[in-house]
Amino acid sequence: MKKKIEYDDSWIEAFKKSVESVDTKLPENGWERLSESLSERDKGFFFNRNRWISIAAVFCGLLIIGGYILWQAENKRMPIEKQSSYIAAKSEDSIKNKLSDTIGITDNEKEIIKVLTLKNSHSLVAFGETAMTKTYNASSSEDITSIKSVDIKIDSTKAIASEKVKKHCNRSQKKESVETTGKKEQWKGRPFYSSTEGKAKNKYRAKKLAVSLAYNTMQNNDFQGTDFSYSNHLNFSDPMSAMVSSDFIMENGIFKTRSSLYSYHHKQPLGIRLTVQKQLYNNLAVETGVAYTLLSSNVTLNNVREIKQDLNYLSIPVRLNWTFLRTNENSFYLGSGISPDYCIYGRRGSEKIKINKIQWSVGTVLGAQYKISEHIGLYVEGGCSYHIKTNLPVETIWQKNRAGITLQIGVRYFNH
Amino acid sequence: MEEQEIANKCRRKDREAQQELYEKFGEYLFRICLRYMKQRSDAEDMLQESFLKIFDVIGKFKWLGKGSLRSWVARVTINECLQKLRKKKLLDFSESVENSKNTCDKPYESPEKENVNCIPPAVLQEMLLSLPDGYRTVFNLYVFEKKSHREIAGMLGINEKSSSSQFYRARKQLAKKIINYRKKQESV
Repeated sequence: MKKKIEYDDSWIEAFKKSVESVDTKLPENGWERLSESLSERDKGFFFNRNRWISIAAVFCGLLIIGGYILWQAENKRMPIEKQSSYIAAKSEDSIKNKLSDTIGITDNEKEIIKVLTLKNSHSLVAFGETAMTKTYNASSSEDITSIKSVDIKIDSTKAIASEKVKKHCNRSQKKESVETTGKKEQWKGRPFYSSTEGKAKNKYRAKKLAVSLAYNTMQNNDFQGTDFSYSNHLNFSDPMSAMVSSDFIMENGIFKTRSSLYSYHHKQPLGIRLTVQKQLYNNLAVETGVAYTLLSSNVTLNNVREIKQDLNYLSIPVRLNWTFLRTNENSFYLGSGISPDYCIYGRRGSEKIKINKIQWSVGTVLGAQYKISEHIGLYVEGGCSYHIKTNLPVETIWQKNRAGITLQIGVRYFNH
Repeated sequence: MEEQEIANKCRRKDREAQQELYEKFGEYLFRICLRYMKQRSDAEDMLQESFLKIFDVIGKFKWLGKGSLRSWVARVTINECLQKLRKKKLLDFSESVENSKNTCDKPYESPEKENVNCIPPAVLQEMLLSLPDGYRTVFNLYVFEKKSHREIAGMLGINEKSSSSQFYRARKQLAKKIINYRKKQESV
């Protein structure tokens, strides 16, 4: 075992005492210099040009970054007019092909489809309905035998179908929407089949389609009052897939679609947050708290019905704040952090909406705080945020405009 | 004015109170600066910056009894000095722990207490300033500020062993300087 060496350190104490007694005179004009510096500081923040330049530089940097993110986001999003014409262009051919494949429309009937024009380019479903109905009318008036592939006898089902549709129309006028939870959507009181449910159900769907066509022919193609569900996602890359295959079916004489077209008018999010800030190092602090946000939107379905959608979000944001400038009362800081938002309650029209996914967002702010007491400060923050793409069953302003500029005013409790 | 009153008035940016604080603790703080900064001009600048910092953060000062303001202003000044040394990259503690262990085990010759007392304080201060920045900083913190090696390690972001090794080397060099100085004096 090593023996610890003992030193005689009494000389260190003597050294210390001696050095501490060194006669030191304060620098000449020390106080005058200090006083001058203090006066410059006291002139304050508002008269210091360099500070303003640095703040302006930081703010410009943030604006440029924010602007670039917004510009990128805008470029990725196709304008609605372009979307409509894109859908229209794609859908004309697709409808012809799909209809002929599904119900055995002849070449003559295909020609009729050709002359159909897309009057309302915003409504893909409306177009689909019109196209299919008109096609059938035209074809049935000329030759009813052209729908040979339909494997249900029209005569025998006519009366039953008629009754069903009447009931359905009455019922559907009362209903506005269906619950949208997760991937599976449900039709209230009626079965709904998705494209993933196998060939057997596709066959069954074809059966129903036939009945509907027969009935519609006889009922003068009245589609008014049809109950449309709201689609979770509109696939613009393949619009017809939503229309003719899985998301576009006829049932009980009613042409229904899963992907009814709707438009959103999103209002500005309103929020309130309570935060606390804990200093980690000299100019670095961590901030957290609770934030509530209300996302309110007006949803218009096929340019006809308008209902209100309210989503109430709660989150626990976490952020790091770096104070780059501090005076006695004011401080200026840059903050960056994340915010997981969870929808605690959602409602569209009279229906509740459940969203079981967390909406993550990241953000950067430039803020100014005015200290009103030892631990409480008023702050104003401007910055930009980016909401990460999340597969939500409803559209929100955060998903529509994922990058955005934020402005916040608040009160903060801090312990430094 | 009492310390507490000075602090309160300084919070309200009372220029007279600020001057009084400067006059009351100026010399004491300047001595601290002189121990950490090799050049006098650097120490003067450091004193100025330290006072500006003190007046900036005086709102954070909590009165804990007599002498608390004195130790608080000293702490602010030491922190400012360390920050300055770090910025200038003068604190180099790159040394393996194993190496420092071996170094501390070697004995060295200690000067007599009486020999130290015979040397003028200014000369002793010169000896201290002639030490490398790293050694001097650790020596100052350990001897003058009475910090433990654990605290020093925390303050400087180094290993505890490294702190004790730096102190050992500083002590050894100082001892050698004192002995040599005494020998020279005796020969004269």
